[in-house]
Amino acid sequence: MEDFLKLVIATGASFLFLSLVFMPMERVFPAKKKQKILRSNWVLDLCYFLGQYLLWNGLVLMLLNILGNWLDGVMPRDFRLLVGNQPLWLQATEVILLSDLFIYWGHRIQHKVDFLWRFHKVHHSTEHLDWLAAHREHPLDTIYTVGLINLPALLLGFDLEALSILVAFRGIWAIYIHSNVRLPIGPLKYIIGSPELHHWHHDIERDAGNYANVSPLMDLVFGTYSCPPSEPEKVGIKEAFPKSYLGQLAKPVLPESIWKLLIRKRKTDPARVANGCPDEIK
Amino acid sequence: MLKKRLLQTATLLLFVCGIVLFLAYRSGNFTDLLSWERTSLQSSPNGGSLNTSKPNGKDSIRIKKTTMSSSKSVVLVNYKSSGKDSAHQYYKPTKSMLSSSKSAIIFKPADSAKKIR
Repeated sequence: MEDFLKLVIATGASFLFLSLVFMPMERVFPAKKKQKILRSNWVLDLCYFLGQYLLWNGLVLMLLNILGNWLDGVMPRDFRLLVGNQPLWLQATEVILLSDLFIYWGHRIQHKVDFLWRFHKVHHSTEHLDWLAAHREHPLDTIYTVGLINLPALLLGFDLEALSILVAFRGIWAIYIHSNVRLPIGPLKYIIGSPELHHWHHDIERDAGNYANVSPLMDLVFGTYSCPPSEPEKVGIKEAFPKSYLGQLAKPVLPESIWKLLIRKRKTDPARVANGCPDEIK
Repeated sequence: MLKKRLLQTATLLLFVCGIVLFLAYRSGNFTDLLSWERTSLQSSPNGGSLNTSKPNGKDSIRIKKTTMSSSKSVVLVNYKSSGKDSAHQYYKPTKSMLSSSKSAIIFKPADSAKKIR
């Protein structure tokens, strides 16, 4: 109970902190000037935020712990110690490059392979980008992405705790690049990811490029870098997708036949028909 | 015009200070003030939860297992401090000793000493 209370306090504190850091930026340097803070589907993204902090985070970490323990035996212990004992700057460089390489290809494959896309499109289903929308992510997608980005460290034995500033920076910057901010950073945009780049990744086209997140280096190397001078006209996905939290969590994991059956039942539910509820799940 | 400039500067300042404060917290500078600990895992590149502290640090068996399997794996997973867990308390100084030579820039030795106590 005490742990849960701490978790709730941490969640509330995180929400307040992120609001304080990002909301003024979104007001003063907006990418889409007409977008309000409390835009449509804000509550849905809040559900994702709460779900991540209160529920899924523990599961993801538990699985990563299992994966980490399992990977311990893969590489020789002496080699892992050698990696972990390198100078910090060298470890930081290696972690950035390897994690970026892994996540770049992992992410690019998510956009190509339908099975992976069905989970990842939850993240892309948002039609409004802001700091809160960054949290819209299916738990299985989280396991995939967090697993991939940590794989080099788990496998090779990088001392991520000593690189905690780098780890923390990547975490908060991943939220920043989703925020409704337009703040050109000049030539730095070739080194560090920015909202102007990542918003284009969320373009309505599934293969719009910019698969790297924190640094666009891999996009530059593999030819998927895209930085038009304006904001994308429309973000989201072309496919029909549920608009409710539970619907978005369930659809990717359910076989199509069962999903259709559920929808048919929902459509013919007399209570819903009598209330004139819109058919939000297609 | 001047008002707008001032507002923009203040906003940027707040943003930068917020990020710096967050980085300072996650590198362990406020551990004494806040009871939950920093993470050592990279969070989702899509954004997502920043609080990747392990929810419960009371599992002595898990900690023993991790300590036995490899000294490096535990560095990657964050166990929360808990007075109830003797294995954890025993484990902490070992971890600090192992990483002290590399983490001197980020962690103050005093922090390690406080944790041991």
